[in-house]
Amino acid sequence: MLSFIVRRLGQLVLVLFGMLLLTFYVSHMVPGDPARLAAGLHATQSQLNEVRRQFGLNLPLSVQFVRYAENLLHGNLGLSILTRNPVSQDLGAYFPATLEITLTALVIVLIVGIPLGVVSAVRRDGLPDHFSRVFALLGVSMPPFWLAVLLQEIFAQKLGWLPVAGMLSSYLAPPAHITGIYVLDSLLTGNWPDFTSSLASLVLPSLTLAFGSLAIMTRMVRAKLLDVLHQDFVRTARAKGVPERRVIYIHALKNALPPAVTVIGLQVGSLLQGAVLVEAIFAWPGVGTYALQASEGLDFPAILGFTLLISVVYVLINTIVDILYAFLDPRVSYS
Amino acid sequence: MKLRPRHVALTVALALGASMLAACGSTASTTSSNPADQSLVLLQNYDVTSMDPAIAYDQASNQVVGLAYETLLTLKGSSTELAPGLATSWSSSQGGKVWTFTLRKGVRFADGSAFNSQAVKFAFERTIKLNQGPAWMLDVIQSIATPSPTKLVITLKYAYQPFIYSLAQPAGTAIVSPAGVKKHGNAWFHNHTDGTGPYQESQWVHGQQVVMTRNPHYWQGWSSSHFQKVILKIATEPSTQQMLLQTGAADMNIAFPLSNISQLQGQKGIKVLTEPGLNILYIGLNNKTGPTANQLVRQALSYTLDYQGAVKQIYDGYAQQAKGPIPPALWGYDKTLPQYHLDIAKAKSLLAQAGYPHGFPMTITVEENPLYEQVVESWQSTLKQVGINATINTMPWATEYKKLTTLSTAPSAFITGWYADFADPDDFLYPQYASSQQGTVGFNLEWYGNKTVDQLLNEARVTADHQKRVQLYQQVQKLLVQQAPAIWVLDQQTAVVERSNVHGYVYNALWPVNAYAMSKN
Repeated sequence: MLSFIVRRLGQLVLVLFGMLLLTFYVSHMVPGDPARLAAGLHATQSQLNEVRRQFGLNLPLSVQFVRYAENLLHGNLGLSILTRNPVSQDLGAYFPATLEITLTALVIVLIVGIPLGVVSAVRRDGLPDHFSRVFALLGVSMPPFWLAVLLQEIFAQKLGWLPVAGMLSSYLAPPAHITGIYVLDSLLTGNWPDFTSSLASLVLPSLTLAFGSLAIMTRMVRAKLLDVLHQDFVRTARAKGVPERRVIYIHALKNALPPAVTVIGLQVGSLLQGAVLVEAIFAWPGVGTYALQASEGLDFPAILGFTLLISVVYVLINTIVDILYAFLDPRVSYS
Repeated sequence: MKLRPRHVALTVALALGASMLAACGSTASTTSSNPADQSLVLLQNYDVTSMDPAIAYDQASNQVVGLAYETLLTLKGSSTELAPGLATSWSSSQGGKVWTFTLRKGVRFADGSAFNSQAVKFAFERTIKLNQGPAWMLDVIQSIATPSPTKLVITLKYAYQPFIYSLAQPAGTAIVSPAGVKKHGNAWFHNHTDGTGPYQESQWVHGQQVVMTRNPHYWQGWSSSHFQKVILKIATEPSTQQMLLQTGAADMNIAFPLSNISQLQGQKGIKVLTEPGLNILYIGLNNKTGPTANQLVRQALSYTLDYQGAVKQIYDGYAQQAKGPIPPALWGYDKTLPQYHLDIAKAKSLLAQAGYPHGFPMTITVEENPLYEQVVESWQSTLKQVGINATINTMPWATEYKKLTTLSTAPSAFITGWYADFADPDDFLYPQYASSQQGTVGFNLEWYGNKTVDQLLNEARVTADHQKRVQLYQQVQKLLVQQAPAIWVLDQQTAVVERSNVHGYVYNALWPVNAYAMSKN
């Protein structure tokens, strides 16, 4: 197992290098002058030169890449052209917010999606199954933008139960920084006004984000469970007199879960991708907001930093999924 | 009791559900409590990029600078007329080469240090030295003398009348505390403020909001009606902004997206003000290469646009057809200028005279902006009526700008907008139409060049007599309208949306919200 993890981490380095090279060249090939965008339309030649010098934009592309890679090895992601802060500092400030909605969405997908999939498989063609089918259809076909506005209109504007947008009430100061995740930090520091406000703020964006993946998870668990329920070992278990509940949740579900776990790995990618849009609608200060701003301003160091971060997260999550496989399916071995 | 996995899952689900239910409605209590009455929540369409007046050069950043810092001059009410700021009086000599200011006494920075002529000299020299975005406005300064703490003499490299107007806006010219810079260094000012303005930065949560609190040393003093805090809340989506204003989670936005403004008109608890903006939307034509280098063709094209359709259908009436290159809200505007209109027959006849009776193919570039795209799509359909097949290329602004500033890749036409940096016609006419401003030097993306126009623009820069300057700019506008280097489409209005309990806001196209003069009940 250990050698598998080490091997995967080695692959991670290769993947990241490839990704870095590709993103670096693609982003620098886009026509446009980041120095002009940063310095403004009136900037004099000396001002432009100053900005180019400051960010190393005056150097040949290959030199810029080598310099970037060298800095990266020292943990330095460079300075953002737009915010003029170290990119690592910016990502550190924005990423916890993305992590907060992505993880919450993932939890919703798991605690709602799996039971819903089980119920619709067990009561096949019954009312719960029809309900979950319609729900899944809506989930995959409803654009997140539309869902977000609908939820905002109902729960924030009409009922006034939840905030329209933002991560915390404007009138509250953020909780003391521990993880950067407001719900967690306010809970850990016992800051109850912040806790209730940040939790309320989290509901709509994370539900919007979870909706599409929830539909996929429900259908996947249902299909796999139906498949497993027709296998011989289930018939044997039933013949032995094992209670039906145990047959489903212990015998069958355990065998239906590995494909669902694969889906989780893939869905994390789509959740991170969806976060960019959801963050914009809910004025959620995550890395998606930061990346959008960076791409509009051709802020190369910020674009590269964002791409690296998302790649690392994606590869790590999928490595964890592979490791989980070994626990869920004894036939899988990494020795 | 041993907890089984499903018990754990159930407990977690119940706990999460219960907490979420408990959280529901909690916002109502936080927004309706006292802090809301003592704070002004201003919506911003983008995050602040820098709080340093020597760097900040966008609307969101200027809002912070405008609250935390002050300038030597300001603008009177909604007008473009100069008014005293940190300088109580000013005069010029040698045709606008030397400027003398008398400064206000008894003003202190947020750190408690005194404001004086040395501070102005320090702040201006700092902007020039840092050489960032707004530095070009002070590039003309040769030397600054401080004969006394309240006397300041600025000598320019050459006579330049627009200089005085560039001091009546915050970018680059707002005065930072020399003591603050000495204590914290330049980089600190990127994320913090230390000025003489009424509100200073107290917390910046990137991507979310900037909280500004009262400057205890503010020279105009405080009363109970003034806000304790000004909160700049960032929300990029127009629909989200709309709901934040409707639910009272935000108090105002002075640049509400026009695309959503009609949905807020007539809503209970909301005031919508539409004010003339200091901007122009125009279609630039390539004056140097291709058929559009011919003046007759450019005039013909000026008769092919459905101006009224753009104003009424695309901008929902929140604009008016432009009359020449500068907007009516700016001094120097000439209301007697002739105006082009949609006239296909006239366009056809001009094209025939120019030797293009059957039209020609052309390319139009447009940045990713839904309103701009709709204007050029409408133009594309009317161009067909005169035999011109236009291809529209939509691209990010950075890409388009690169194409426009290189003559070999410049298209026949492009659509863009210009917003005033300061209240002087020079800021509209010189960068866009002086021949020295072609390519990357300025914003003459039409590659237009005319010796008479150059001469008139240069003369207006050194003429001290205001009336004479007005006449010079009106001559320039007449020439430009005749030569049609661009199609001036419309002057867009600015939509200010505020909750009906917010009072005291005075609109000025060049000035951010002056929260000190405002209150809420």
